[in-house]
Amino acid sequence: MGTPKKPSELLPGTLDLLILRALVPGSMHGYGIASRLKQVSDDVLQVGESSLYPALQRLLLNGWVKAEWGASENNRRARYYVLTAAGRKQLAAERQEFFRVIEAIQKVLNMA
Amino acid sequence: MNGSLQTWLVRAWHRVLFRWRRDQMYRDLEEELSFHHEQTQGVQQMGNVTLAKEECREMWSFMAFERLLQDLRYAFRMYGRTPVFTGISVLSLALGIGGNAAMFSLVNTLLVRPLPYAQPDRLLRITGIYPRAALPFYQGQSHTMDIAAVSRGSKFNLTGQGQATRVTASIASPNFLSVLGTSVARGRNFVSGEESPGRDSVVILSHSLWRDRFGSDPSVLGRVVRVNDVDRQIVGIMPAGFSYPSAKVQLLIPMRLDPSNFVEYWGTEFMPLLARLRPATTLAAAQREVHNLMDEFRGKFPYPMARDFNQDATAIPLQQDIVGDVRGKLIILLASVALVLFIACANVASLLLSRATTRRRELALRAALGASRLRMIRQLLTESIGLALTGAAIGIVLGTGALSIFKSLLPSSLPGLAQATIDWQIVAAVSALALLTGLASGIAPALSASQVDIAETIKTGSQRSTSGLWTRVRSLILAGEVALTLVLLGQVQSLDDIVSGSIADFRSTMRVFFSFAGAAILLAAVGIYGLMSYWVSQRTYEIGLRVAIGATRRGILSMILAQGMRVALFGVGGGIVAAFLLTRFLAALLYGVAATDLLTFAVVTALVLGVAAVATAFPAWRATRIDPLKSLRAE
Repeated sequence: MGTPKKPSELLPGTLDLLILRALVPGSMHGYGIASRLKQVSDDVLQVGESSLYPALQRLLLNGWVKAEWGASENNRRARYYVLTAAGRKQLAAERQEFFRVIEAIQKVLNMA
Repeated sequence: MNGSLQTWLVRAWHRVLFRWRRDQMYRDLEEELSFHHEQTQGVQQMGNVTLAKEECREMWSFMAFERLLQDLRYAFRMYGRTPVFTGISVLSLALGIGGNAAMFSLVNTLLVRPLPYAQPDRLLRITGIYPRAALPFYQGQSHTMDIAAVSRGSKFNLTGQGQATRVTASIASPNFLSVLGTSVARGRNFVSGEESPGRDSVVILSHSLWRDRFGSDPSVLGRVVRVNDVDRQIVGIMPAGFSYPSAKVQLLIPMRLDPSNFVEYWGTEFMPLLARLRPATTLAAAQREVHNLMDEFRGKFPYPMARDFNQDATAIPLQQDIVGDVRGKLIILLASVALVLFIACANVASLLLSRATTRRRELALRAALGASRLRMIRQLLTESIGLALTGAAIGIVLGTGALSIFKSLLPSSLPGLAQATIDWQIVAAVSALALLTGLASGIAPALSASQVDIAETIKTGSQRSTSGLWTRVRSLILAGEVALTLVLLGQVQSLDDIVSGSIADFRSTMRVFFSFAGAAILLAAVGIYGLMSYWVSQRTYEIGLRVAIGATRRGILSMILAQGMRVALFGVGGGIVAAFLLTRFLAALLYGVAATDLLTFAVVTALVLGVAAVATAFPAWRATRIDPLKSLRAE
């Protein structure tokens, strides 16, 4: 693995999936989500504001997350996102679909 | 990641909600982004944040819809700024669309909709005419049909109910209504046996007679009236709109069968026979039977009958019998209104083309400010479709008027003719037609206008930089328009022949002549006037220059007139060829239309050229008033 990857360069819809997954343990603000994705992926997935916030708006529009203003760790006002029931269902379905596609891609790449 | 219907609904609802709170949403996003920015201090931000904000804003709105509203607002501003142009366009389209609305309604009622009787496809007309004696003979011998007779109707005196009046009455066999597959609205049908002398003193009223003469009084059933000095009891009232054998018939009288009354039984009024095909028989079998029975019946006459009496008698579907000779008229009318609409389209397209050219500067400015070509085409199409839809709204009103004119041209015996109205189906069809019209007349102007060389147009500030191609397209459209007008005038002449031949109603013929030919000529004149005015205004500089270097007023006048007449002459040439072919076609299609009549064409050509000259004269006169000093300085 060379340069860091933006999820938008991956499969379409992957960023939405990653955000939903990142919210499973509990609510987070936008910066928290970006940091978490970067940390867990060992700095491979670096999400900038320009793709993160439109993605969050898209999830809000679809009713898969909800947003609430709250206080951040350093006592600043921050907007926290939380998964909805529809969001959990969507995550489960998309996660399965993602693995199916990855498996298919692996098969193609490993062919004799 | 899209999903189910549920997700779709949630998304739609949120979109409305977010649109509502758009300002709040935007403030939230701004605050969120600045928080994010603070946290990443020193680290370079990734991507274009402005673009991202734009992307979010689009999610909180209905962009397509809002752009449409914007386009419409703009279109209405343009309409208001050019009221004459708008008025002419809308009226042209209203004329075209109104005529089509009326024709759709007629064609739908007469040719598409089946007869309003039970199992109408099994109803037949036995051609030829028959004395009363034929009825019992045919009823007794036929294996394929149930047969009834009804006379076309003649005048009777009605007394015993207020003032004596003349009414139209048909003589019908008692089974007439049951064979036709319909019934009275009140009271009872004639019953079997009421053809016998002594039992036939009954009568059925039409709905209109009952309403006008008896005040819709239900107690008239059982009352006695005198019809041609015979007392008859009212037993039934027909439903409203019943129109067989004709809407003019006000009374039905049972057909008396009395072999001892030789003159009435074998002579006097011969009438048509109506039949209903029995189950499991075919039209072909019925036709064979009619042929055989006629040969047999001819020998039954108590006096020598001509050998060729009813020789060609056969059975034909009743719908064909009723609508048959109307079909041709409808085809001509339909073609005429279609032509008027074509002309209107051409007119509006041509007017839009000229306006598109004078708007080049405005469009170039919009393009320079970042409007995409697609967006500008959409804006211009919105304007033309808006014109067409407004035209359609007025056209529907005009169509109601046109419908009553068309109705007066057609025989009142046509079933359902009185019911032909502009209903929601017609309105839907007309709206679709208007959309198409708007697209058709707007597409060429929109394409021409969007091909703007921004730098060149703004720099010179001139409206002279018109592309020669589109001016030629305009001339071509107008020549076509003149040609269509000529064809239409030729056609109206043929329509005139048929109408005066079949229904000698001079007034309605003249009305149709005026409504079509008048509309066509008016439209062509407006088109030519528009083209020439535009042409003169485009060439103000050139004309000014010509005057400055010594051209006379007379020379300028004849130059412009020649230009206008050239377009008209091309159109007339094309029109004569097209009209010649069309009348040939009509002559083959319709009985009684004389093919190409030279005198008609001479008159029509002179008329069209005259109108073209008048329409060109005013712009030409204006051209001679151009002040060379002013026009040269203006550029």
